[in-house]
Amino acid sequence: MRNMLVGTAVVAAATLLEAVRNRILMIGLLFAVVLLGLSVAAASVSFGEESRLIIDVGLAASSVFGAAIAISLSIASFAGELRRHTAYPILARPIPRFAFVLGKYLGVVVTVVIVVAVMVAATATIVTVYDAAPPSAFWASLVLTAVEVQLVVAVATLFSALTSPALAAAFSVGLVLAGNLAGDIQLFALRLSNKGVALGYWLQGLYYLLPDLQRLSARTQAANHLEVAANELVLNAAYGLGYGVAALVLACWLFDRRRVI
Amino acid sequence: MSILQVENLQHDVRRHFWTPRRPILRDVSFAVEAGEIFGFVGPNGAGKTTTIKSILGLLRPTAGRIEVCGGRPSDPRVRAHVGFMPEQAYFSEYLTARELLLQHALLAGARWREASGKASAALEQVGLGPHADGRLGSFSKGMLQRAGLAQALVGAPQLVVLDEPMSGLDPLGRHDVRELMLDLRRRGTTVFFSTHILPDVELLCDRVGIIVAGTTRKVGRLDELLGGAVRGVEVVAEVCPPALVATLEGLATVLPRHGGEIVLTCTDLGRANEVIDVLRRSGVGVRGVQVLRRSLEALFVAETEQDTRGTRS
Repeated sequence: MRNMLVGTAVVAAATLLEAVRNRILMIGLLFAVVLLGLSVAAASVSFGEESRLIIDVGLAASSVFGAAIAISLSIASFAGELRRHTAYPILARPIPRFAFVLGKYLGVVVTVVIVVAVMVAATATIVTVYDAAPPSAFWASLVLTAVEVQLVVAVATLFSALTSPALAAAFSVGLVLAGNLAGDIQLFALRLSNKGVALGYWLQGLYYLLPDLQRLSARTQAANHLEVAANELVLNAAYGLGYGVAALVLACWLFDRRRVI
Repeated sequence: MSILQVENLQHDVRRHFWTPRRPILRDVSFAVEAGEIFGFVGPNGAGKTTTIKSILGLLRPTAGRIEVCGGRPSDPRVRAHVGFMPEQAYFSEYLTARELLLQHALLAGARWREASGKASAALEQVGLGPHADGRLGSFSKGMLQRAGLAQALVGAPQLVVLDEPMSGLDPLGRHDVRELMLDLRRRGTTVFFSTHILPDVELLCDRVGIIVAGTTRKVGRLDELLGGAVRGVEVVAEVCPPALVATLEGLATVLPRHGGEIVLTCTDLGRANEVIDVLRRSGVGVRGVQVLRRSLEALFVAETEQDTRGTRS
């Protein structure tokens, strides 16, 4: 038990340290800041919609760049380390293999959540300057974005445990894109199944496999100063956390059974 | 008592899912006794690194049995007694040497309070003390090898597994690593290392295992493997008058050497003593005497060529 906890903590700390010193993080953060600056410029000609535009763009940038940084860091720190063999000396230590998976996951999640929090805080500051303090839905959106980040990291970790860095990145990006369309897939599936088309049922099954990332977004509510019900927030966050945990457990199980590292 | 036992190890790999499996390890068997230096020798692609990965639990072989420090490699508790240095310096370029050693000290089971001291001690042991706070990305090849050695030793393991530890090192670096390995043996640590640099094996090893094409060909003490028999004796003499050379040609094969010296190759020690007596009586000085035994290189080449001939036929 001690080896597992220590192993997870050490790997997570090293992952966090490497991520902070890695240029990918800085580049991602820079892009997000630039985008935020552009939104401020656009807001100046938006005739009374400054707050809405800045919140919308700021939260969207946090989500998109958060997902992008999550995937690239997860791939680089897991599949990349396996490919470069930098994981060998660590896996040769007296720690269970799943501790390595957990440590990588935790290290990347903490890193990306900090980056997302910085971007969201910057957005909140700008909105406060332009208009007033952001609405409660804004902070609900931060919570859901953090849950989305851990889900994306879990999915990228799962693919990293299975395959090469390039394929893991492709699968992760594909799943995130599909996840953002999951709600639309479900609507389409319902229409087809209501007409008795078999494809509808298959698509319904596909919907349940995909992570419905639309449930982890409260950008529309935040931008339009609408409320997010507490039970809706809790349910959606639980869904996201549950999906992430399931992906992580699967990643640990598969990595533990790999014949060759 | 064996600290490492490998029996009938086999491992097959498949490059792509549509291609057939091909064997990397066919039949690897050897045992390493506690407290010795064991050299694992083989040509490139023989299966040395694959065997090492199997010993460390990084790879689950297709068949065979491995026992390390009384347990199986897949058991994390067993790996607490093993230190591993990979062939290439596989470390994150973003960490400093001290951070790397601290990480491995903690992973090896050290408590937080003692980990820092152990990390510093390991760095000093390999001569990286002054570079402890330098980034690994800025280290030279030799420095990275030392860092690799330090992280293998930081947990004070019973068994140290080194994959090509001399690879890429200059003569001074190789000397330092050899001295370190000898020091480990003096302290009772078992050293298992793979290499294809045979002079290092002859200088260091108590026992040797030769692997060719995934199969162990020979395992045993060096003197046993090399036969121990004298194949000849070379005597180097000063400049000799032609009459004396003619006499010596009846006792040995005579070859001229630079500076007028001659090399007399005798069939055995007895004949060599006769030659030396003749030289002394003639007032000719002896510059050197070397006993010729079968070399490890000759054995290695013979085993490798045997495999090549077997492949061709």
